[in-house]
Parts: sequence; structure tokens; C-alpha cells
Amino acid sequence: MKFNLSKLFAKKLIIVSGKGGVGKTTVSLALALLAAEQGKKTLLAEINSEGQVSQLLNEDIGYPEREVLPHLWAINISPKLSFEEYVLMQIKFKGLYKAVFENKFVRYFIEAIPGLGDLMSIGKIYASVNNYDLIVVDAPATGHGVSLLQVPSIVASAVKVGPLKTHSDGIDRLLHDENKTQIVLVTLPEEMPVTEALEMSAQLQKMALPLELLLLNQFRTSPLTTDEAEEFGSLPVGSPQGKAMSLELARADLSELYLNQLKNALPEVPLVKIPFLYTPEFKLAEVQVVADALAKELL
Amino acid sequence: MKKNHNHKQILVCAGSGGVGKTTLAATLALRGALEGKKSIVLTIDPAKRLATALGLSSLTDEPATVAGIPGPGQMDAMMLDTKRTFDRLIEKYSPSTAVRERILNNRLYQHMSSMMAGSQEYMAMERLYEIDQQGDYDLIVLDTPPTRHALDFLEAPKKMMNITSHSLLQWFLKPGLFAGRVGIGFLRKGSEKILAIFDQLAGFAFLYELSEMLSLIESFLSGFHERAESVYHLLREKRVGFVLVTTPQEMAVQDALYFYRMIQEYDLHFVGFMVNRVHTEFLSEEGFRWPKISDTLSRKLEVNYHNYQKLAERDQSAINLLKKVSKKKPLWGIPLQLKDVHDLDSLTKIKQYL
Repeated sequence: MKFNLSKLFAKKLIIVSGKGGVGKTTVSLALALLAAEQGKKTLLAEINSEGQVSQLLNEDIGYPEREVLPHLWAINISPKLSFEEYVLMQIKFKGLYKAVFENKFVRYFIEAIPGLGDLMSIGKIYASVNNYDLIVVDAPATGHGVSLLQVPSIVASAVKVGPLKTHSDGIDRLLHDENKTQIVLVTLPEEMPVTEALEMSAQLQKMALPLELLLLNQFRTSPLTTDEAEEFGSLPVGSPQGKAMSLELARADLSELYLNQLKNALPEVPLVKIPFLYTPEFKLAEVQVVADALAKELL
Repeated sequence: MKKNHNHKQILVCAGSGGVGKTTLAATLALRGALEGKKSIVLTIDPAKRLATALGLSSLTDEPATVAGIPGPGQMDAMMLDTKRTFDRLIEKYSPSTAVRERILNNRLYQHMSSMMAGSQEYMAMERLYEIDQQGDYDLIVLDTPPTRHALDFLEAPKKMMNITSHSLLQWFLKPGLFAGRVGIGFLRKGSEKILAIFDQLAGFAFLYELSEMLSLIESFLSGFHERAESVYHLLREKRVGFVLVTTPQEMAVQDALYFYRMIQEYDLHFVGFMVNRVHTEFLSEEGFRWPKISDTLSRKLEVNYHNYQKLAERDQSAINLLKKVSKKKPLWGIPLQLKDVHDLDSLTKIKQYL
């Protein structure tokens, strides 16, 4: 089956990762917009972010989720609040929670437990999976993104019994379920983002996690035909116009170079280009342009 | 930039992910080396970006000298390995070989030390402190972790101090406490309740392992605590300057402004903004008379130039905004380059804009 949007949206969970600054938030929001447009009840989940989605949507997004557009809910997952929610689910008494977990010593202890925040954040997504048709996770950048995906299996192997064990096992099973979960990696046509994307794909493979789609963002196509390029090559470059064109051609060359590099390195992963936008602003309208471009490529 | 931070011996480059922090940090170290200094750039990134930027195949967490720098200057580069720095700290501060071995062999420690709250940030600071103490370098440039949470790395020493000085390790996590339910009867009522809840959530076996790890770590934490405090003070010294790196894109600029406010709040020394990948050279409206040129090419040149002008205007307003905020402090614009910057030649080219 050809890879397309309906295949992407047929599953329950899309986890979007990639190096910092490659446009993960834009892509996550664009995918969520498309799913919501198709009438799917969609949740866009940021993890402990500084409010990037809030800025793009011009809405205050926090914890718990709220409806921001028709069929589209958004949440900024707070590790602390999801921990509280999780523990309350287990012990049922708010008073007891307060007495125990708001104790200063216990709080510092909790803070010192490695990976607990990550486990609780991904656990919140796990707990929400049945409330939505689709959840799009704007995951943290590569390195942190990997530990987020890794922590459930580490805890599941360390904890022998009890609800935490069941919880971690459940999350880990969801992440490894190819029928429900897919990972989308976003990258740019630049050396470092491509290197990181390839490294992350190797790590995902090692963890047996399903990488389903690569998105090459800010792709530039040469505006010139071969003849025009030849003509341009014979001109003096001294003018700003000439220099701008040289830069554009150089960026288009790099786009082509890294496109091929990614294709060669990961021949089995579908790869989609997202065009560079020459807009001074980047707001919801621009995200919509990205969404339309994705929809066109993934018909 | 010449006069402004020559007297500083440590430069910390901060900024959001993907703005070119690593490249510019390397450029600053290179600049120092070409001025005859002995410089080093420390990077924390797990994806080994600096290695790429310097054309090195691998970086270890020991300094390596970058080849091809004309004397008398020298440039070193080092990639920080969080786990190894942590291991080294444990080796250094463990009260005995037995304790050290127990920590290093603790299964949870092996999996989780790199995930410990703020540990990446803390280790960066720790290594910075070590290198500074050794006193081998005239200039140390630190490339900070690509954190979403702006200045986590500034909080890191404090966070460690909190964990070590207030943690329940003092009264709650005595080694062996979780070994079985036997001990519980002897405990105060409050902690009995807490323990029961923890048991219900995760089971004693896991908690035992966890408590062993944390209490083993605690056994060398007094040295650690002192260290965190020294790092905290080091960052506030006058010779430590903070460079904020951004691109002209709105989100990155917002982050840079946030960082700037934090730097004020934390009483740190701000050096200036570096705005990377700017198009401002294309602001000019001036037309150009091409010798003889086809209509289609001419039109395409115009369209493309118009696109670049739009980006140039965006970049200019970002720069103006940052200038307004930073007042008299310097701001450097680095034009978008024709090629990826990953070797000494391209770093040297960038150097001219600083």
C-alpha cells in the first residue's frame, strides 16, 4: 500500500521528533490540523513546552487539554501534574496525596528519580489514547526524545510488581504496537539535522520502534531550468540579485544532496518534502500552508 | 567583539535548538586560537555535532587538539559525555572502592544516571568547572545543551544542591530500608504511610534498588554539593560572559529575549547577541543592469530577489528588536552561507563577522 495520509491517520499515535529547530511543532500542528479537518477527534500534545503551540494558535494551552478548533484539542503536558494525576488514580484520596507528595522531602526525592517526569508525560498520552481518534505528540528534540521513548521499557524491566509495572508495560506495548504507533522524523536539508535524523533512526531501529515517515522540511527547489542556470552561470554575480540567486541555487543543491542522502540511507522509509516558505511571519496561516503541502504530497 | 570579551576567559553560548550555537561556539574558540590564545570549545550535544563542525571523526570527553591551526595559538575541542563525567565524579568522591563498585554496578544507575534530573546540564557545568580549574586555557567556550527549558543549565547546580541537601535520603532512604517490610515497624508513623504508598505503586524490590542507588550516590554527595556551589559562583564571576545565539526567526528571537531576561535575573554577564543566517544584505531596492539576459531569467531573478527582500526585512526587524532590548551591548549578524559550515575554512569565513 502506498504511504498516504489515510494510512498515517489510521493509527492512534503519531510521535513527531527531530533535532531542535527543524520545525517539529509546525509539522505536529499541521498534521493535527489535517486530521481534525478530516473529522477525526484529534489531540495535539506538547510535552512540558514553553508554549510554542499557544503562540501559533494564539490560545492559552495548558494542562489538561482543551478544544482549540473543531475536532482539535491541545495540551501542554506537565510532568508534575501528570504525576499527581497518576498517583491520585492509584490512591484515590487527594488529602493523602497532599500529605504525602507535597511533603518537601518527598518532593525532592521524586525530583531526584531519573526519568520519572518522562515516564509520567508519556503515561499521560497512554492514558488519553482511548479518548481520541488520533494523538499527535510534539516530542522533545532527538536526544531527549529517545529517552522519552526508552524510559517505559527501562522502568518496566526494573519494577517487578505493582501498578507502576503494569503502567510502564502498557506504555511500552503501545509504543511498540505497529498498528497503533508511528514515529515521524522531521529534518532539514542541512548536514547536522540530517546526521541527527539518521542517528535517531538507528536508535529507533535498535529499540524496535516504528519509524514510518521522514519529512524534509524547508526544501528548496531550483527556480531555474537547465538552460537558464547555464545562462545565469555566464553572468557576472556582483549584484545583490545575482547573489540572492546564487544563494538560492546553492540551497537548492543542498536540498537535493540531502534528499538523496536520506533516500539512500533509509530506502524503506517514505520521505516527503515540505517547501521552504519565504514569509516574514510564521503563524497559523503559514502552518496551514505547510499542512496543504503535506496533504498534496500524501494524497 | 574585539574589545568586549577579550578579557573574559569563559564564554557561554546559549540559545534555542538549531540556531547554530555549536558552530558559533567553535568559531569563537577558533577566533581565540587565531589570535594566539590557547582555546577550547566544550560541547554537550549527544549527536556529536561539533565533531561534524570541526571535521573530526570523533570527539572524546578528553580535550583533542584541532589540526591545522597556525601557531602560537591552539584550539582544542571536547565532547561531553554525561555518563562518563558522572562515572568520573563517582570515582572521585566515593568514600571507598566498595561503594564505588556498588554504584557503578547498580542496574538502575547504569540505565538512569544520564536521565537524572538536570544531569546533562549539571555535567556540562561540572566539566566546565574542571577545565577552568586546571587553568590550561586562555579561553573556554561552552556550547550549552539544546534545552527547551531555556536556562535549565543555570538551575542545574542549584537543583543538585536541593536534591543533596534536602532529600529524604537523610531520614527516609537509609540503605536497606526497603530491603523488606521488617524495618517499617520501627519507623515514624508518617513515613510508614509514605512507604506503604510507594510500595503500592512500585513494589519494594524496585524501591530497594532505587534507594540503594540514591543512597550510594548520597554517600559521596557532600563533595558534590560543595562542587555545585562552586559552579554556581563561577558562573557569576566577571570573567564569564554569556553570548546569546539566535536566528531571525520569530520563535528563536522570542527564546533569545527570554534568555536575555533570565540572564538579567540571574545576575550574569551578558556579552551580546549573535544573529545567525541573516539576509540583510538583500535589503537594497537598487536595480541592476544585466548585460544581455533572457526575459524568463530576468523575471526569475526579480522574483527570487523579492523573496530575499522579504526575508531581509524580517531579519532587519528582528535585529532592531534585539538591539532595542540589549541597548549598548553588541549584536553580530552572520549572513546565510552558501554552504553548510562544517570545516575550518568555513568557520574562518564566519569569523570575519564577529
